[in-house]
Amino acid sequence: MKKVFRNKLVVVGFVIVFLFLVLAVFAQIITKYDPTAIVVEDALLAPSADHWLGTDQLGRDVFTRLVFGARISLSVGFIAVGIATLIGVILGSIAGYYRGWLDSAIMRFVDIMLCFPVFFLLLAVIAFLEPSIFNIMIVIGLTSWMGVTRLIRAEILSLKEREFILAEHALGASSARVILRHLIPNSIGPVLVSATLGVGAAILVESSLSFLGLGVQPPTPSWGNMLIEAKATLGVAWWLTVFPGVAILFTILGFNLLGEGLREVFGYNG
Amino acid sequence: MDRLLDIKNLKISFNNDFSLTEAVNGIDLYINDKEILGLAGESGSGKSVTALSLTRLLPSTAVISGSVIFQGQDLLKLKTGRLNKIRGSKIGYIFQEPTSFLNPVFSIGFQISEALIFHQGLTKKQAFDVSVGLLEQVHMPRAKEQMYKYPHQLSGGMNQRVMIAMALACRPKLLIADEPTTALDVTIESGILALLEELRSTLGLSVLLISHDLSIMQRLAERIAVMKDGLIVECAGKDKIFKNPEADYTKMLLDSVIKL
Repeated sequence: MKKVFRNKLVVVGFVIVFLFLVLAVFAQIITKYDPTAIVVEDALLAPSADHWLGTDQLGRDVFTRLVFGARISLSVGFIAVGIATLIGVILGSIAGYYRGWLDSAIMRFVDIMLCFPVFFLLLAVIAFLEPSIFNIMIVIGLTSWMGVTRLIRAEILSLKEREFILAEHALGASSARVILRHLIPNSIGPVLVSATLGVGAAILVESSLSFLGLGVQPPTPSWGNMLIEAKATLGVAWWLTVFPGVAILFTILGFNLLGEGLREVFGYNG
Repeated sequence: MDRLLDIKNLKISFNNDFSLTEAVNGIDLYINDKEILGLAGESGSGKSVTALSLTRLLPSTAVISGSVIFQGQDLLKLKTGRLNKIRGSKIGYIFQEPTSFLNPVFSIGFQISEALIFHQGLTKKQAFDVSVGLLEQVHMPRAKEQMYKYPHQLSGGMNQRVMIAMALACRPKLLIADEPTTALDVTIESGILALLEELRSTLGLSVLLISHDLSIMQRLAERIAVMKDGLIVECAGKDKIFKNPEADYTKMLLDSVIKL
């Protein structure tokens, strides 16, 4: 643990991510406004002591909406990556451990999934489903597990030839036990790195989808739909576009720095 | 005397798409109850492959034929699930390079307890207590403290004691020791051999001791089988092997032992 926090990238990334996490978790305490309450007479106010980041065309407080948007973005990021990692770890370890036709089948399926441009696949799927936070999480998760699968498979392939795995079989451990208790814990490092980077990527995808109107639906605030709503008043109210943009930028920067830092600490490439 | 393990006409080859390598070409070997059998031979002679084949620990490219009768069952024909109940609980293994045969991400205590939990159904707490006892039995100093250590924090000799404790956790009938001291210093080697001798008599173990080093055999083994190129060239009592060897290869092996 000490070694992890001696890495500058990790520290900076962790501080940024932690800050957004605090904002998201304590959203209700941090701000006195309601993110969806419309106050027409306060429309388009510039940043001031009352409204730190100004208000939008319906008089809603931008800071409040950003903070509540952080909740949406982060939970989409974490849950989507959670789903992707779970699928990836299960399929990857089965493929790497059992090899044979099962391995070929799983890896060819990965290749097929990788052929699709993910974003258009997402658009197509969302177009059929009702766009909601819940669907977004699942769909992003279901379209981003391929990298983790490859990663885990490669790790397991090399790990299972290691001597302590032979020793474990010699002790009479079942295959399931060897995979769950010995192979997966030993390959957790690169998974952690890819998951951290994945959270940033998932948040970006969610923002893009919301920007296109296929993601989180108004009035629920999300960084992406705040941007699209702000587009109409771009010439008058700069604060409506700049702050959500900065929030997206910093969150993704935070996750990427954290991921890169962890990669350096664990010593993985690629 | 009762035969604990009876190997008949064991043949092992490794088969891949390009070639077939014959590692063991039909050997017969038996181990009596409470006996130490030495299996000697140069590297590549098939000793380790033989040892691993007994409980089918070889990779799936290995083709094994013959029979290995252990307590009335042919281990080569047993279903993997049944075999898993014998591995570790009736037949224990210790290997050459102790540090790399231990899982780096788990503590010593976890690894010793593990087999106790899944073979004997002990709770974590019970397994912990038994494990401390096992570490004491293999003369691990400050056994309780060591339970929380990781393999990289211990020396090779200490890790070998941990492996022996793991192998003996479920009180096996047969211990297969594949070059147990080759990776260790001579002084530590002597300690480990003394430990094996002591455990054999206190626990009534049979041991299949595999080594290229005849001086180890002289100290521990009662009978010695000499292997070369996948065949057993000679198998006899210790005294006969050392005083009156028949096969030329045995004589050569004896001549190559460094004398002080």
